Amino acid sequence: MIKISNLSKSFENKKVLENLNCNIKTNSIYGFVGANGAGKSTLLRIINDVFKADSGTVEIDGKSIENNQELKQKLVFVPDDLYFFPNYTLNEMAKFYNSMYKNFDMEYLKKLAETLKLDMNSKIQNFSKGMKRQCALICAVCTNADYMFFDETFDGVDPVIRGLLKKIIAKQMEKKETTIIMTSHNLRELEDICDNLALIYKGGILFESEVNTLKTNMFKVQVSLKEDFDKDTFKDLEILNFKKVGSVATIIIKEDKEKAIEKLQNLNPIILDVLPVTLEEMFVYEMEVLGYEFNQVF
Amino acid sequence: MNLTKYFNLNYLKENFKKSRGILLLITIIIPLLTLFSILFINKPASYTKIVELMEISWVNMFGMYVIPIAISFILFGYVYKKTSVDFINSMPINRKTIFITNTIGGILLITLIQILTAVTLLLSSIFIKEIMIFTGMIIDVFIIMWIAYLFMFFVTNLAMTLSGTFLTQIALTMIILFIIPFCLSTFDLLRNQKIIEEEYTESTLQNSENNNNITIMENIDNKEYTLPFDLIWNTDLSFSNTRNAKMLVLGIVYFCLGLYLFQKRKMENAEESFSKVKVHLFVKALTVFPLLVLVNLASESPNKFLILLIIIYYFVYDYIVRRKVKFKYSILGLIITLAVSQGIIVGIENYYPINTSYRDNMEIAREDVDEVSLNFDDNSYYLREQPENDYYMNNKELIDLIFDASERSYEFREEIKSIDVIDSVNSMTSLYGNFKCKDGRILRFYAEILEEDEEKFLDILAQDENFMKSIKDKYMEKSVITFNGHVMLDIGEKIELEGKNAINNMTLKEYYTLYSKESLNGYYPLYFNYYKNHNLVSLYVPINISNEVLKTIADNENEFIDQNFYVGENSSGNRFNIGIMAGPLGYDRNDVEFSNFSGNFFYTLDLMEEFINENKNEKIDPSQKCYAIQITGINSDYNNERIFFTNKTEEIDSIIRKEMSFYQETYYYDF
Repeated sequence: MIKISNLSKSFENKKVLENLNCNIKTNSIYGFVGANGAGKSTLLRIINDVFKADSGTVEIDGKSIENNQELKQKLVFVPDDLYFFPNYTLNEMAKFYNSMYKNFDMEYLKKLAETLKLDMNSKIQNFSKGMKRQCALICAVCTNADYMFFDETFDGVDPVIRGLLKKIIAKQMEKKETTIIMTSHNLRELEDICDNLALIYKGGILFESEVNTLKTNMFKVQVSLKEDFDKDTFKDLEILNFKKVGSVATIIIKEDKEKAIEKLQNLNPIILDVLPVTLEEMFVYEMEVLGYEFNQVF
Repeated sequence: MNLTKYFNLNYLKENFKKSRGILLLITIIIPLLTLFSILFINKPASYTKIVELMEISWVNMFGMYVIPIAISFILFGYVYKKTSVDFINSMPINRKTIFITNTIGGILLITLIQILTAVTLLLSSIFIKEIMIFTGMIIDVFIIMWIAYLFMFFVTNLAMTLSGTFLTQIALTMIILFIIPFCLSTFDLLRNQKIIEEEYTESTLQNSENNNNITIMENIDNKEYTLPFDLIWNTDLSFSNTRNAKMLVLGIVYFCLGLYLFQKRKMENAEESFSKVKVHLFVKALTVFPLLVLVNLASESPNKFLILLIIIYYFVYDYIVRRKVKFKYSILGLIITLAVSQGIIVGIENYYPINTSYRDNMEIAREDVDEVSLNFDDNSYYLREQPENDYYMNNKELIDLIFDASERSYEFREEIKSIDVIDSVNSMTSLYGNFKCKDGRILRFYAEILEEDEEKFLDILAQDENFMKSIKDKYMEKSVITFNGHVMLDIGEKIELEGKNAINNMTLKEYYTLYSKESLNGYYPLYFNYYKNHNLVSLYVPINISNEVLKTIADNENEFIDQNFYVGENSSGNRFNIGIMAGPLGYDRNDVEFSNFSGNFFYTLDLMEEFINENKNEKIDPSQKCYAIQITGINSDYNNERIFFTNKTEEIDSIIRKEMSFYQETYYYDF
């Protein structure tokens, strides 16, 4: 488990993280979303001991990461801007990882490279951006680290490869207990893979939730009643958003789906359609509840 | 104890591997260039010479300013790139391990470079017959350079821990290396200038206050900093235990400081000079300060153009090290920098204490002297290079005599000042030595005494058996014999044996007469050379040269002249001079006939050229009268001294007469 307490970091008077608190459960996929410059990458760098926090603590499995070589064996970080040694091939990079990580699986890496059609003996600097990202990701996966951090992981990767990479990550989690922490400025990239999502805004976590809870507890209905109605007609329901166009209202409800529909049925609606809500919409409505406009945050 | 906490071999191997090409180049470039420099020394390869410290180490010396910085950049360069910082620092290796591992890697590389250089020198000495390098000198070069390279490496690593770009690292390295010794040396210079200005108005310090002819040349307790600074400031590459110890201790301090700062380093600093503008401005000010001092030193009123250049540099610096600074902060920083720098300079010039320390160090009274050591000297260039006699005598009579004799010579000088300067100089002789003072100072002095006092000195010194022994001991070391700078390979051992026997049997007075009294007869530049106490010792051998030795020398020298003396090649600006070095037996420079001959052929150079060309394959008979003719600048490739021997003394005498006739004409026309 990763426990982040009151984490703050400034770059020359500019606060990037401010009293950030967060708990990341083991064996889950945790996603940090936020606009560019929100502090996602800085957070990952501090967790991985690349940067030092100004204040606050990061504990992984109850231990501080600072100068803890043994603990760092359990962590692997794939940053947004990738780095490979000049003129190195994938094979050479893999050997470097192998020399640094005790549990590196060279055979598995070769297998993955074959699956992704990556030439082990070509210089990585000649690869495309997407291929480089694949190289970095498979090297990271093969470390068999307990905690894997991927910063803007799927940036520049085509949908087919993105699907493949997600499968590789999922398979790794099946293979052993692994906690994946990802960041993206695009919510859609994370919605189908993450168990938990946290929205970083102005150096703090604005909103955090399990994706399943969000999905089961939030839904959208289109409803029309015989008589004239307004928002107060549905006061028994926990409404996040209410919009009425003509005689049809679109309502976002945040509560147990079955109970809420039962309440709506009791009003004898002429129309009652339950519609799916995208994760992005869920975030929009949650933000609105908190008093933010989604466009401000992203 | 888990050593992987401090050292990670895998990481080091990979770090080396990723830059293997450049590392290989760095490793071999110094030994290789050293070899080339040695081969260059021996052009044309014609004789064996003893190589001096600077000749075999100047490449290494230049490398000292480059190689450690390059190694540091290769090993730690990742800190200057954000992407590599993310990559390396997220790896399961902590900063302490990275720093220690890379430092050990650097030390190993530097050691390898120095070992390869030492082996190159050793093999060169063995296989290149034209040079001779003392093994002790090779070991000294290894030690000096190894320590200096390590010191530079630790300094650059320390600079790296604070810098965000490579150029900032270089600027900071220069500041750490030079700012303190530069300031102290410059302040001393300013202070000394002030003293000199004052003395100029007061006449000389010694004479005005002491009324003797003792001149304190220097305080031996000179300040020594570190080799990278001393080499630039004093061009001093000598082996010094104090300096080596300083570099080692400072190196260890810098390593510890670097280790601490590297662990605290703000890695987000990559690609920017410093994380804070204030630090950036402060470092920039430190780089400007020495420039301002130098401009100030260069002339009385600072040159406006140079000041303008410094101001331009001040603003360009930000672009060079890639640091954005708001214009108002830059201007404010510049004003503060100029004001503070100028304040310091003016303060030093006007208020730096010159009251006692420097003057006291250079003043001497007989009551202050505890012990004295004396070196004989005949004022020739070579002999001044003789090692000091470190035999100190606590002899009140001797110390009093030095002061009394120098006072007498002072009085004598004052008396004849307006009468005959040349005569007064001729009747003087000089003493060199060191005073060990009661307060611990050691002062190197030079005293003028009257020739009539020489005997008194010799009488006192002759009573001290250990004094003569201290002189003789110097000649008893295993030596290499050189004649005119050339190693005598064939008869060296014989000369050494002859010389040692002769000196062993000499009395002090005999030694002094042969050593100090200039005479053309038998005065050949024969030297005992050896390497001891980190110095290349070159001792003049005061013996009359035997015919056998003279024959071998003359044949060798004439053979070289035969192959290399070409009249006409010298016209390409490479002038040569011809002079008499040693005349025939019985010949004396004060000979009535040739008493006005200066020893050099100015007007009869063509005649001498012709003579040498006609006789250059002459085999001489040492039992007959012979001249040794010194030639400087033989042909366009060779610009050193050689000696031509000839038995045709009458022909030479006739040319000397011709030469002297020009003197008389000149004399006649001049007056």
